[in-house]
Amino acid sequence: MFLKLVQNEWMKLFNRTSTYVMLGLLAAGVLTTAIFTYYQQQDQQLPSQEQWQAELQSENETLAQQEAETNNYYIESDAINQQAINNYRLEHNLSPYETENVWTYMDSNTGLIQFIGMLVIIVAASIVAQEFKQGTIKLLLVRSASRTQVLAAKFAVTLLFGLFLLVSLFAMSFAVRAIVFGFDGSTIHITASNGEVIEWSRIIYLGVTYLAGSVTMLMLAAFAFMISTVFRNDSIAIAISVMLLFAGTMATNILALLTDWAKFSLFANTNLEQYFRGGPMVEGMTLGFSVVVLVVYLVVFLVLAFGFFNKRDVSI
Amino acid sequence: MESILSLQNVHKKLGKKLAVNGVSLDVYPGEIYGFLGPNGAGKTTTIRMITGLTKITSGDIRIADASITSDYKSAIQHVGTIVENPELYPYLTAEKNLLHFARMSKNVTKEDIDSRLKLVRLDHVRNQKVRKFSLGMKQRLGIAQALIHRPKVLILDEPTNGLDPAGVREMRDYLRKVAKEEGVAIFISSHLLAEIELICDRFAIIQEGKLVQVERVSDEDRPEEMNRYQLEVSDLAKAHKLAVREFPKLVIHEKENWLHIKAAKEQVGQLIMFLTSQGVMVYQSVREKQTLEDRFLQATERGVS
Repeated sequence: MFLKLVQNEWMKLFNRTSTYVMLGLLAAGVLTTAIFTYYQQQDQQLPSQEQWQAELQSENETLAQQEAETNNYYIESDAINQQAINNYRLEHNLSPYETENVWTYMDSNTGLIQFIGMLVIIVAASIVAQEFKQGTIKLLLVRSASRTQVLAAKFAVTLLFGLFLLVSLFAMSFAVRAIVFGFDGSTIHITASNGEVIEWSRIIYLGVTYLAGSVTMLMLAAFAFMISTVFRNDSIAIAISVMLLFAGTMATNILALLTDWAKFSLFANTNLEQYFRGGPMVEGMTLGFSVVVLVVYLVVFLVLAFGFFNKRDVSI
Repeated sequence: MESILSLQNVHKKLGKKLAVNGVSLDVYPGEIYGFLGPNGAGKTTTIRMITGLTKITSGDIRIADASITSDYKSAIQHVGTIVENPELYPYLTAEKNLLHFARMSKNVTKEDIDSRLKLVRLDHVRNQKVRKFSLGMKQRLGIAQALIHRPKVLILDEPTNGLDPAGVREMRDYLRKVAKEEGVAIFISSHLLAEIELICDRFAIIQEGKLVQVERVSDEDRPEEMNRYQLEVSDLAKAHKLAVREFPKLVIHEKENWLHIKAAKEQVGQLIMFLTSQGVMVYQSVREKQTLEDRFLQATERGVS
């Protein structure tokens, strides 16, 4: 029964014009960045070895100064890590500059993950509220599927749609870039955490970036889903969630400057990538801590959504 | 016969007000049951409780002997419904709408979808999006949707709202057909009396949350039932005198050149034979039909006072 409900939701999603508009916008985004970077790199001169080495050394001096002066944990750890990366580059003769290739381009496309986050929020917000708006919720509930099953199928399809968009973005970026720029270029990516340098294979690093980016997506989708189920209104859910998507991290950064309590904020924990590069926002946070905080948030969102959906009378 | 839908002393509290106050009724297979009442009397609330959209405050509703509160899944699988407007997905085609609801029930095949589309004469537009449908077509697709899983009970809330006369008539024909051919019990709520009168076997009137009256629509057709008749005769005074002498037990009087009597069918026949044998011509005999409207007003007035 559950699988058939999922099938239904998927069918409804892909029979709506808005879904195709979303896919079109995403494709347009991928193409735009490709064209933009293509013209930008045409008259681009890579700095020579002496140039970039001198640049990194002077950057290191500034960072060392910053490290000594600041008493903010976040700025300090960032300075330490950046120096470590720079030193690593100097030792191994790895230029931070490279010609555009499939990998650099896909890095720049990770910004589109945030755009995907917005699309998923829209779907999460409307998938329940729309049924109330159209009145079809009545026909959906007077069948032998329980309310929990109906709602779970909707949440599952929201997540599946997010995954579908991520895979599409990955595939489209890869294809466009491979055609336009080719595969030449460094296959490693360097990050540092707690002053220790990690060398990544490019493809694995990209995979991790995409996954880490999707954590924010998952949490905000659950949030939008909860709001739209409780208030039965998609506009409120979209507005609040998109606002959080764009302003949440910034607000948490400001909060982190003031208090350690910021580590319990959702947005201090959604960016799991921080444990691989740059270190966490607030001192003492670990990957395990973040995962626990995220799970607690997720459970709260879902309990609220399912609680309200199961208990309330349908009176439209 | 076992009833297929049974409301047992159902109450529903909305805020402090009792919207439905102790409603009990039984609907039997193959029967079309009308549920009448003015707006705000509790019709829609009752229907929402039968379909499980709203929780019952006290009492029980049983469908095919399964309680809607304690055994929701087995109860609801026998129910097909249109609550108010036929709400379908405008961006799906007719066929996909049916497929959607078919997937939510067990054992509905592709053939069932085809045959339902044929029944409501929509198979020629099966691949058209519902957005483009007229209200009548949507209403028909609504019926197809409600019948897709062969329910034993069909619940319709104001099914002819907004339909033109041809649409209403067509709807009536479908409903009669499924009641008769598939033995489906149909429960229709409406505030349109004429409509209930034309289609229902029995009806109940609800007023301020209480059931005021349950009757058969066709009660007056039973031979032993006393009805009012009017006779047009050639000689009114003579006819009156003869009638009173021959049938002293009947109520007989003259009014506006007609002879009014209250009698059973058989007695009226005998009276006419007697009058003609006495040389009084009887031009016509008319049964005064007490419309459902009269009975409705009678019942609801009684409820108010």
